[in-house]
Amino acid sequence: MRRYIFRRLANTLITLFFIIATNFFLFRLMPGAPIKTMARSQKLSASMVKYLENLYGLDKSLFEQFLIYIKNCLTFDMGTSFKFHTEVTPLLIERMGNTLVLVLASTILAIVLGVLAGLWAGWKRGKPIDLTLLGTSLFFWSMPTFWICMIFMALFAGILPIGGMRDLQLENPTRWVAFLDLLKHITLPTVVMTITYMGQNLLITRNEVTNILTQDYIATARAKGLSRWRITFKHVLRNASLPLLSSAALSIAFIMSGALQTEIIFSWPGIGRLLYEATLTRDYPVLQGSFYLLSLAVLFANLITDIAYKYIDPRVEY
Amino acid sequence: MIVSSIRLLKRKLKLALIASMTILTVLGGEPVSAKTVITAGVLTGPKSVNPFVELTGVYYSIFRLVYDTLLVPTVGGKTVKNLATDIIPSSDGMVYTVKIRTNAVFLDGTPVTAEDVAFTHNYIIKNELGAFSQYSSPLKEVTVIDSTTVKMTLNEKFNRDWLDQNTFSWIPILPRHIWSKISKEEAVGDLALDKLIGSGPFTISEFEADHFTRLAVTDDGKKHFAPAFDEIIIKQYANDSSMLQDFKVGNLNIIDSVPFNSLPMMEKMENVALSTTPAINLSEVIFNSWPKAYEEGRKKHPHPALKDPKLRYALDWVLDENMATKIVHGKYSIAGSHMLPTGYNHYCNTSLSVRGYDIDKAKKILADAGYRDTDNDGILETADGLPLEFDVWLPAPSAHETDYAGVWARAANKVGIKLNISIMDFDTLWAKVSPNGNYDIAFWDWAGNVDPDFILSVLTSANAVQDGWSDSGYSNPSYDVLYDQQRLANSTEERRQLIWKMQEILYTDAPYLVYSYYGVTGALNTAKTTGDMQLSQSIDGLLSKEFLLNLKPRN
Repeated sequence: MRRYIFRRLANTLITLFFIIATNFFLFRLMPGAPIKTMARSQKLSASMVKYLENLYGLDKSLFEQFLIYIKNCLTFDMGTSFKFHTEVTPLLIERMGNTLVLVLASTILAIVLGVLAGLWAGWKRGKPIDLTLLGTSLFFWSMPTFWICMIFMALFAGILPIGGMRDLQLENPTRWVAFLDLLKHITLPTVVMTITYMGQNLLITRNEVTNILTQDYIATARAKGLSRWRITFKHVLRNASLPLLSSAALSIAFIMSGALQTEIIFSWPGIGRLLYEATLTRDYPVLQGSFYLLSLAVLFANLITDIAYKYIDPRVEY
Repeated sequence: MIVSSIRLLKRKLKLALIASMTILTVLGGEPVSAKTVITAGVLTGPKSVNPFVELTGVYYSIFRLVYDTLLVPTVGGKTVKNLATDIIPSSDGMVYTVKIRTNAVFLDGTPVTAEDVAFTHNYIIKNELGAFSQYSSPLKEVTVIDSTTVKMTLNEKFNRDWLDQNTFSWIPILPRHIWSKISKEEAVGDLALDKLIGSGPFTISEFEADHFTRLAVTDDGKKHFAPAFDEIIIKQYANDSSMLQDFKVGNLNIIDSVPFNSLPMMEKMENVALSTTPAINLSEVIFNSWPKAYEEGRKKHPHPALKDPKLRYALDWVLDENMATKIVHGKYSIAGSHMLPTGYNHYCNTSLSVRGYDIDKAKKILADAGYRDTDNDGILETADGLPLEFDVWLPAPSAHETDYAGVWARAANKVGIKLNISIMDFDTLWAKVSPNGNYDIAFWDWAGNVDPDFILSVLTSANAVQDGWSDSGYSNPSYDVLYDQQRLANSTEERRQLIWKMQEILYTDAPYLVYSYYGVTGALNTAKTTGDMQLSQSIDGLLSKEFLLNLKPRN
């Protein structure tokens, strides 16, 4: 087991290095130079342009910039944003926090509700409830996230907040009032992301359940007189969980991109929206920092998944 | 056992439902605020509230609320006194004596004196700070005469209109006791809000980039203007749909800029007043006019035929300005014809008319210029046999411009010109456009200032350089001479005549085909607020100081 974990860790580190290198060179291949854009829009003098190039390290050779970049990645020093003129790391942490609040709630709900609905549909395969759940989940899974956001926004505008993270007119709210205000604002985006992504979990679970229910050991369990609840949660779910784990790990990346659309529609100040704005304005430090952190999140999630796989099914080998 | 499990489940569901209802009831409560607040929705907000960093879009309006300038733009494109009570030129026009009012104070209670005025101008001049450098460029130095008087010495005699609209209207007067401790490098960085104070009627009390800016009325603002509200929240939305929805349900008093395709819906809504600012912005098609690009003899980018003004005229005759402006900027925009939009009033050369849409005229121009379809493929060729096929590039996102570009391409095809339309990222396009001129034709846009100087400067040779403002690369010494002269003109009428001549040169040389003039249309929720819409007719629209200070929220 230890050797397995060590191998997975080593793979992760190698992947991380390639991500760092790609992250660095990819942005420098993009046409347009950010300091020139800044110089033009802010009418900066030649001496100020030189100062900024020095500040952002853009006057150094590409190799020197790359070495500095690796060092900064390892110390989580992402530099200064070209656009915001603030340190990137605290900016990313703040925005990541806003996104996590949104994504965590919806991911957990999407998995829990998707699995429960998938179990139900699997047991009732072919029946009206199965067809209804399947049809509804496919519908929401197929629809573009931004379209679902806009429908919900149109339906619930005036009932629930449709923009931002908090009520800007609340004066010195208590923690409880601030928490309730956050809950109000997070409701719509969370509901949208949940119903969009639970479909994937429902489909995977349902398919696994229908497959597992045909196995001999399930027939044996039934013959032994075990209750449906016991069969479901002790036998069926455990065997259906492996593909679900992989899906959950992969969904982190997808949910971040879905969060981007949701954040833009609901004006949620998260990392997806920051990434979108940074792409438009060539804010390299923010782009690189965001990509790096998101890559780290996906790598870490995959590592945890791989390790969890081994625990759940010791037969798994790489 | 199954029956008891089902009963237990039902009981749990009932409890969950009751809990949800309770939570929703609690969540549905109204916000608690003792202050009277005006909320405004914007689509692009500032990334910083440092005036030396952020000078785009809504921030222009914000800085005029927070800082005093000597003069301030008002309705009708004029300027009125703000911090200055008198601006008196010397007989030779080289020195201006500026007197300021005695009752202005900064947020921290420090009175505004001539020292602050002199310091601000000299700080900008010495440190060559940002976009303000161009406005302070006529100044040699500013010296203090007494506590309320400064002497501004110019490098050379400048037109008074130019000075009023630029130097005296654009420079925010900064507190010397704060900014004298801020270095040039720190001045373009991230500064705390307590350093970013002015003497205007508002102060920035809270700011989150990409989210909102909160402006509180200062004590001094309450004393002098007695506005009927305590603060303004400028809320930034990432998309227009959510902003419009919030406005519809009454969560916003103002929308700064209504997307034009939403205007028909807004016009039908009850309790909505719309107001459009003067049209000082323009949209145009640009022809590659970088001289070096043509000297290199490239067959493509630019196509050699694009140098020919007759070809440009022909393309103008198949460009329907009336249709283009409505498609791209909606019903409140105006068909363009030449460089200065109608919002520049007397500076706009009204003798230059829209060329219009006439396929036959375009065909005749091309035939007279010697273009023939020698291979009968429907596309004309030059005398050298080069087909008249051009790439037309648009910066993303350009949904409406692309719509019209397609129409233009079909019209051009009727006269034997092939236009290949494509969209690319803005910075990618800019890198191709300037300064190497690796393009044929592009769609572009300019946002104007109150004074026409900036828009006119874009086409000077001084800007047709690396990191300059020029997109077309146009360079004409006669135009440059007139540009320099208009800044130094002895009177408004003399300046007007020079600027009219400049527009005639551009109309003839046609580096641009201007197809649209437009302003910004804002919306006021009249069920929540009353206001004098006439006061919103300056460049800041519904976020102008005059308009905001007269707003009255309804109870």
